[in-house]
Amino acid sequence: MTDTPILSVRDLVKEFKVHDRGRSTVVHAVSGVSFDVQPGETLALVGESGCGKSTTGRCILRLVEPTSGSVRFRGDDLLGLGRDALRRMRRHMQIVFQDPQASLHPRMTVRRLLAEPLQVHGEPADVVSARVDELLALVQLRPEHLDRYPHQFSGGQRQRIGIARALAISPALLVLDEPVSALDVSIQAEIMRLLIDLRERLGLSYLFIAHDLAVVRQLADRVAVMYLGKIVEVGPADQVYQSPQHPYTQALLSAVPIPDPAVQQQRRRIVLQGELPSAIDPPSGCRFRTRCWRAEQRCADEEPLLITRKGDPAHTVACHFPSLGSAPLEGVPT
Amino acid sequence: MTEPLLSVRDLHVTFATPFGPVPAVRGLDLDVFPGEALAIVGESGSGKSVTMMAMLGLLPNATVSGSAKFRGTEMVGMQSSALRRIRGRKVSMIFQDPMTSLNPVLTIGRQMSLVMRAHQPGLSKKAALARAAELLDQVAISQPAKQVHSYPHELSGGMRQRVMIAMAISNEPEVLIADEPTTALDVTVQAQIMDLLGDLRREHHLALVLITHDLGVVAGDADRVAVMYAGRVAETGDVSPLFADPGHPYTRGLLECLPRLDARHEVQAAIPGVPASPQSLPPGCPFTPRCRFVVDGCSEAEPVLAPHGDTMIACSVFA
Amino acid sequence: MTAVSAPLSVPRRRVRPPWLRGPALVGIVVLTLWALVALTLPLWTPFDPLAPVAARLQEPSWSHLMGTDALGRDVFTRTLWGARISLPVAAIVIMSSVIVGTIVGAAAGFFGGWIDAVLMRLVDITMAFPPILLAMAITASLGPGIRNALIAMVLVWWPIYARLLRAQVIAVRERDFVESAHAIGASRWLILRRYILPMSYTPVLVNATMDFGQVVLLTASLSFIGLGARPPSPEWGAMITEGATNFYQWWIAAAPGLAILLVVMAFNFVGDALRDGLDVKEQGR
Repeated sequence: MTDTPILSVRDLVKEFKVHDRGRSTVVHAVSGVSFDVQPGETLALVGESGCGKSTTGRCILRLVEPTSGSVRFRGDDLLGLGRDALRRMRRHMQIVFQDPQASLHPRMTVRRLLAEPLQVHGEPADVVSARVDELLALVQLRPEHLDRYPHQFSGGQRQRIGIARALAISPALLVLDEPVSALDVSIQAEIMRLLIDLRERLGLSYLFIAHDLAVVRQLADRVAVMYLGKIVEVGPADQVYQSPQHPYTQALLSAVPIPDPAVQQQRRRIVLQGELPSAIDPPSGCRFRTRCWRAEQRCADEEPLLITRKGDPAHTVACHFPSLGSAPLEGVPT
Repeated sequence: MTEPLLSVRDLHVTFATPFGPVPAVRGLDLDVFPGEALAIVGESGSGKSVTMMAMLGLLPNATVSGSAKFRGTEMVGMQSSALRRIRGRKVSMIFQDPMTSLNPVLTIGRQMSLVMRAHQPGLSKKAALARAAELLDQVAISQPAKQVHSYPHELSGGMRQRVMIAMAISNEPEVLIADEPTTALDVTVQAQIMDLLGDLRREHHLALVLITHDLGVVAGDADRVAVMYAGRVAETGDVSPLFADPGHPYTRGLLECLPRLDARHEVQAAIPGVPASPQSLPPGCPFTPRCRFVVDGCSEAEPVLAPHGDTMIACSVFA
Repeated sequence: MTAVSAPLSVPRRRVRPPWLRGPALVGIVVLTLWALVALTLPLWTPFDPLAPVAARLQEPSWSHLMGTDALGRDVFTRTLWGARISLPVAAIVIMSSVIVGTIVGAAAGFFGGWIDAVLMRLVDITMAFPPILLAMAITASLGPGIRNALIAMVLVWWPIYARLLRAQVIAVRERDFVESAHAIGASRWLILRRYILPMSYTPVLVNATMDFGQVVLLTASLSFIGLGARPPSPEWGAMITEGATNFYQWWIAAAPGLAILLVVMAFNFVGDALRDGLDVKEQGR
């Protein structure tokens, strides 16, 4: 990779102080996450609840202040910026939220919602007006929608408004935090198509945060799997889906049902034992060891590093006993 | 030909609202046979949850008409005292959100014991508590004797849902209705719960009615499926033929717009428009505004279920 | 790609909003009448509220609807004139308290940290005093008179709104749409002004309406114990004091008492309906 990555995250840590019955404890939400996003690339950050993917997304945009680590946009450090410099940087990175109903100000019209980012950054009124019209067309809404309020729209349309608002000041990087999970299945496909189309047209880079692996498959170039605050596996999407090396990735993939009985009924579902450990007191060594069928003493003593084990150097895994077979695993579809 | 355990005919459920009556279910026919897993699939506004809840008398504010029989006994219009003998005893139900389904101020042992003693009057408190621990073990909760004394907030979402399942099977019902049991849970937890439900079905010869919007779950865990749209059944049949060759345009659209784990393609088709709202239905077939195959006859009359290959569909064009 | 279809049709309401039904309607009517009367007083009574106009301590009659008091003044006239004191005073007290309370509460809720801690301790200390005692202490040190009573009441009342607003601000600032404002780079001032405050005022509005009645009562109580309006002012509380001395001439206390009752009740009805009406609106329909 000779280009500067558009986003470069190193050793990102976020700890929340929590007061529980008079005592302060620390929740280790993100514990040392590192990855790059190349210009024009879509990196998917996947995992289940409590893995820290949403917190990571918010730390990158400094909507939540990280505890430590570094975040660079096109090589420039983001975490040390003062308030004004940060505001200028916000032109380049925006976020689309999960719940389109909750993320739009209920008392602002669509026009004001789309104009506001431009106004905040000092664009003159004529530029604002023209841009608002452009944005409407981009997300396939119509001029008569401009004077309506969010509650007058359907879920899919609200998400379009949210996407338009995020694109208003022409960011190069878009963080998408579960952008379709709150929508009906028949609407999800529409919005996914819009996101894919916009990516082509505007040359956007995406950090796509999601828990639904089937959705992610449609547009991810690379996939990073998170568990309890750490990345356990990263690699090109096809490789991670077809030859997952980390046991958690394998379990995750096998748990996602395929809507085709001929295929689904032949699959063997890996059912994980036990429960997700607490983020206040995560297991020593490898955090996944309490639920892993391959765990041994070494897993408790030594935390595995995220390194390339076999094949493509871009495919890394954090496991002492990864699956390195070339044949796809039983229970994991090709 | 076995008799169905549950038999619903022409069920209508209407809610009175300040904006006038809203028909959530408009003439539903359904059968549930012993030991089978029937999935009821639909998006928001389809009426899938309302159907089962109305049948069990859990919607006091709704007007319910038509017929819903459990082993030949008519439940529509039954006295609530009589319904209570069926509900929780013969037909159990578990709900979507395990966070709010459990009473936060009672230990789970006590809640389970209350449920059991309501339907088995001879059972002592001590015996009920012991049985509760046994049930927790059956649903794979570790250290059941200890967990019996926990409070709901001390358990994870997956564990709470397992407690709900344990409560639901505590009186040895013949049918378990699960209303979106895994929607609020992570996918690995979903795998655990669906696995558990499958085991319990086989061990207790339990019929399962699985209400869901997730066709993946249906493909893996159901025998038969009923696809609902706008308060009626659009298509129903055995799972394999329905997925292989869907007859109704809605089912076809749904299957086409689903992203698949094993396919790298971008989803090509989507169903235009929004799911029908029961408050404003078009004349004739409710799917007309979104359907690719509309002909003139579609707006005239609502189609009824008729055979199409191996499934039954409600469509004037294809049946 | 095809464009998205038309938005959902939102069904039109077929019922009258809650503020035009039942008790709320009664409340609005009563308050409107009081306001009208207060503004156009000479139309309603020919007498001078401050000067004796007839024989003392007369029972209610057709010429003097609520009789006369110990100095021969017409009680009905004085009662109507009392509205010119009590209603504006209550309005000023409420508005001032809301303004002060909003500034303190919003600052505490929005900035958090030590600002929050200091401001809230101030609120706690003020609220620890029983309102009447506090009002008495302040009025006593400033000297009697309606103006000082007004100041005292504002000092007693603002903490309620500070707490209310702080709670609302804390709730609203966590909501997604506020995060969206941070994401686009909006300044904290803009977020406070456009996002947080407009979505926080509902409970304040409801409370303020209900509190109107309470302030009227407090004003009357202060005058009753001699710390607010002083004779010969026709303030309702002061009139009740006079009525207490002439106990057997029941009308002297009854008239202002009834006036207070009507006004407080009306405000309560309107406040109730406002809360129901605004609650529904918050849901976004």
